Amino acid sequence: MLAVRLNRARRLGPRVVLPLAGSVLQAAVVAAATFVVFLLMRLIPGDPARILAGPGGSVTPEQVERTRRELGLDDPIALQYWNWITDAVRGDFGNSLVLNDTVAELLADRLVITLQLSVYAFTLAVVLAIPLSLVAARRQGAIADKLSRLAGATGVAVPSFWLALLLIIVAQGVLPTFGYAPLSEGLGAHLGHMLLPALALGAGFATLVFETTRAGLIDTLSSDYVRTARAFQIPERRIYGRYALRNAFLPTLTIFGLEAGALMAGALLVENAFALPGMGRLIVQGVLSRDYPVVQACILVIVVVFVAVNLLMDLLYAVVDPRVRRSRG
Amino acid sequence: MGDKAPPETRVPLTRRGLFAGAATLAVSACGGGRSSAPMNTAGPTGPPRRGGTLRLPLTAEPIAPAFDMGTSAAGSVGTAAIATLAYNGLVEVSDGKVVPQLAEAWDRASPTRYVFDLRRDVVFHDGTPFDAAAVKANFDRLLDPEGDGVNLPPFLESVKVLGRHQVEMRLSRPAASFLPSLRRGRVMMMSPVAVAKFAKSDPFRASVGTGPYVFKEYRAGNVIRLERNDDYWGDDNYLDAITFTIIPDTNTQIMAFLNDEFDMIDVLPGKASQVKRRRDAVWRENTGNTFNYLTFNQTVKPFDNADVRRGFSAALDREGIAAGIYGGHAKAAHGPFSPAIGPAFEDLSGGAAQAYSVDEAKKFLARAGYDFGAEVAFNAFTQSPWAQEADAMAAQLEQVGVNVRLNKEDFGSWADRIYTSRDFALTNSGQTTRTVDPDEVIYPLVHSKGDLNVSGVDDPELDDLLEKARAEDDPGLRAEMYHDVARLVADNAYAAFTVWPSTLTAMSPKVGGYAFSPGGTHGAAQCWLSA
Amino acid sequence: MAERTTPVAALLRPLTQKITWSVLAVFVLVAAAAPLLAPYDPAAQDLRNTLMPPGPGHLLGTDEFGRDQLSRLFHAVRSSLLISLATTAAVAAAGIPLGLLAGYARGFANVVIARAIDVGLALPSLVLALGLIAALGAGMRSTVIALAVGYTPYLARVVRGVVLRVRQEEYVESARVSNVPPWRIAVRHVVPNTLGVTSVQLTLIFAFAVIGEAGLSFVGLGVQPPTASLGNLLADGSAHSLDLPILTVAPGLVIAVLVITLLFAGDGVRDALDPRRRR
Repeated sequence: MLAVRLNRARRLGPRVVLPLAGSVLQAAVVAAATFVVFLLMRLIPGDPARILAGPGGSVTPEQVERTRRELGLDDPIALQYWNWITDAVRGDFGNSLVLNDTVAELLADRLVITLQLSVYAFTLAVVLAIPLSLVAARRQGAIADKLSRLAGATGVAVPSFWLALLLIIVAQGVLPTFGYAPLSEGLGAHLGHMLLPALALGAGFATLVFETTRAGLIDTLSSDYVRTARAFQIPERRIYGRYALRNAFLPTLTIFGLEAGALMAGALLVENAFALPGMGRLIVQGVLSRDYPVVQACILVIVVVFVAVNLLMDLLYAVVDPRVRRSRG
Repeated sequence: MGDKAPPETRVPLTRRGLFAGAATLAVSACGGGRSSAPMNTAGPTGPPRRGGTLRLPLTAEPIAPAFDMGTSAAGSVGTAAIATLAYNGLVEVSDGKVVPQLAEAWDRASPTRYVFDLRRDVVFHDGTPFDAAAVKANFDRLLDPEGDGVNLPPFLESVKVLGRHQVEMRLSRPAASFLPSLRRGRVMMMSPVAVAKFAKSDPFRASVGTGPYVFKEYRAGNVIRLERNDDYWGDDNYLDAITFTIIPDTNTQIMAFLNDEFDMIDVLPGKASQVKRRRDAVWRENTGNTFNYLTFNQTVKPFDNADVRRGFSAALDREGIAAGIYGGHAKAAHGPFSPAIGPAFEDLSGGAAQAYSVDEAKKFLARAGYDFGAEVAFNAFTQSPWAQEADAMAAQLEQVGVNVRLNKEDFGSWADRIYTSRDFALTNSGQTTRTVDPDEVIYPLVHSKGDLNVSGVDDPELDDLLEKARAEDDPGLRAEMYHDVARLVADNAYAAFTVWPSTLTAMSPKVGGYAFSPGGTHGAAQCWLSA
Repeated sequence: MAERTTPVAALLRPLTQKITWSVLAVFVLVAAAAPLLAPYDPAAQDLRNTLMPPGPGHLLGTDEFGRDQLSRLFHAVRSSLLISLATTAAVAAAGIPLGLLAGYARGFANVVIARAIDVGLALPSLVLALGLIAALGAGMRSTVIALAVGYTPYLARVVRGVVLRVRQEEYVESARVSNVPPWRIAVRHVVPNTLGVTSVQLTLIFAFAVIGEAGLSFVGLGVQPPTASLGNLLADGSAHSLDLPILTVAPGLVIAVLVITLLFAGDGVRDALDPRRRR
């Protein structure tokens, strides 16, 4: 597998250069996505000024009005968006309306945690799913296939927050069940705190990767060229390495790309259950308390991460399947 | 001042969010319901011991700007409660009485003029001396019409420095609730030097008080840490440190408490049975001046008709709600004041307008000529336990033939609908602020100019009574006035009062010195840990 | 490999599929007959008998409102299947055409649609759902809309991926060279080839809708009581996971069985529809 990739990468050569047009398109995606959220947040009833003014009864309309003015909430939306995006590009995300910090500080702390959680969950998912899918596809219909499918299905069939709950009950006293330990507290403590959340978050993805890889493998294995290859008595190893895995990899790569976005959403429930102060928690809290600057900055970061990951996936696509490269180039 | 509905706008993530109600008088012992396991109420014995770290979970993060009591942050019950660990007030309310704190003594020179003598041995955590100028600076922030301070004491007009340790406060008119409104938990003294330096740039660093503990660390979304103030003027700060770990999910909190990872935990009444799995837990149950209610938009038909409101009110099975939704850790309410309010309480359970009876409900509605075919929209919000209470109430209203459509929104949307656009017919909420005076409890809700009077109650007789009761100095007469107020509100069903919920706290058996304060001081303020 | 037979016969050939579809049939039956099967009114509260353990009167006990959990479970299957069905239908109706267009169109249209899908994908679905529900109010309709909006770009992108691949196949290339009109190529070659992956994705989405609804319920913004759904039973029950685990275990198991069955069913459909497998 790795050999195939390296081989392709060598042949790809100078094509792995981002065309300028591509970057413009990606920037447009970022702008459009953030604008959608900007608009949506303002369509939701609920006034951040009111929430900011606090739940006490002694809020005067003048106070509410003043905070609105200070936050620029009375400007036209297009102007608000322009002000926000130009500040954001300069790295100024403003202050949270509700939390006691600047948005940039909040993001810096929490993004790390969510990224770590995502990477661990992903790693667990792949480590569990890819070998299983190979076994399943090779012995399609056999007991091994059915059992691995059942195991895979269970991963997605259990909602993450519920799995989290079960894991907490089971692992109580054995592993830490809540909170976050930064790497500075030692690798053991760090991973110990992350293991259960990563499992809860990774289970669903494992199934996804498993199902997609398996489906792709089976598709390829029943295709004409594999039949032909088999007819020519090309060794199974080679068929898997050269044709099957490579082709089965395309939809799997798509899934990887897709999951970059879905991951953040999945992370929030898990972060909540394990009391991890990550970005998922931040963003939901932001939506519910109409903390515009926080939501917008989170979305911006998520979209940028997403776009970056997908760019990478597109490149990998080209590496794995030269025909796509040809048609795109 | 009362909270609107949920105590925190910092919306908790889970539907079983926070429950921060609270207030007066220990009723203790075990609640009824199915939670049959007896609740242990005996903590450690012996003299308080110094040392140790008290670990608590926190459901909702403090609202911004953190612990700056000169801003709207002071309006949040949860934020203010933590702040009481680091701050003092001029006075404290204990067993219904106003007792000295930073003010040693006071004199009511005239009905609208008070003179306070301040303690002379107090310094702020940053070394700034506590004196009359500091007091004036704190109140001037609240009085500033351009500031966003809340909890301004009623009718306070001006504060004047009379001497290094003497201040004068002038009121625009007499108010019996003025002194208790100066209590810690409501108006807290901050270092004016720290405020001037950091309030705008770094509110947490501006959070400098005179209290038993010092704010040391605040990692947003993670942990708040306070450490002992070694120069405290009092002597009841026994702990080395207190930590609050922010965990929005109450299930996670409970699990950690069962695992002995927390020493103390506030328990949603509906979840008490889970926490009881920790056999050695020590419990405190207190009912306060909080109440939950169903309220009507009385500016629209059919709720302008008192009999319609009475009919809806009589349809509510208060005992059932207390037993079912609160697992027995609440009492059926028949009026706004619970027994915890003191002399202002009067038992109103005999009144038909605030007692459960399907027959009476049907009679009221028939008398009003109520149209049972019409659909009534019931707007609630998705936060525990109010969301569950709304479900129960909707089902009970169906029982008397009312056609209810329950529509739940997240708190932000709901608050906008109720408090800003007032686009609702029926809604439920709770009065959750920690209150010690009947005026604080009821005035904002039912006075025609009350801040929280969203249902459009406009009763000149009631307004007149409330105004008079505010200014009445004779405690006996004042209590009687509030009896009349409560009867008026209850009989006219200006709201349908459902339950007085308990505040439940579970502790490890090592925790001593817990004290429930109706005025808002944190229960851990005088806590200690046994060896 | 199946012989050339009718799709249904091909579908039901393996034993696994026979079991799978029987289980699904039971689910559909329970959903359809929920009002007949349920021993109690699922919305009838009994606040003095809340959180009762399973017993002769209530086989699965009662919930925090004293409602009969078994009756609620039957009705929950009904509403959850409806929600998932509506969501999946909406996603299919929007996602397949979008994906085909994005994969098959050339030039400017390709770019615009592909990027629009990217925008949709880049926004975390649960966050979108939260926003939409905050705007629309919680309820079954909002749940379906929120879930569908979240999953549509997801399906579209997978379909697009397949189209990109199929477009390169030799028979498509040769059809194009021999001037077969694009729409005919799409209908004859591209669409049938997308069916396999699409059906797998749709069953996944059907399953995800069950799970997604549970997530929304967990945040308190899912289907609102008194309507029972598997998601809100699970979320409500999880609040009592320590003192009455049956409340969350029962709906959890039903969800698990339903989702697993759906995955196997999707697999069967895929095998039966796959043109190469029927050859």
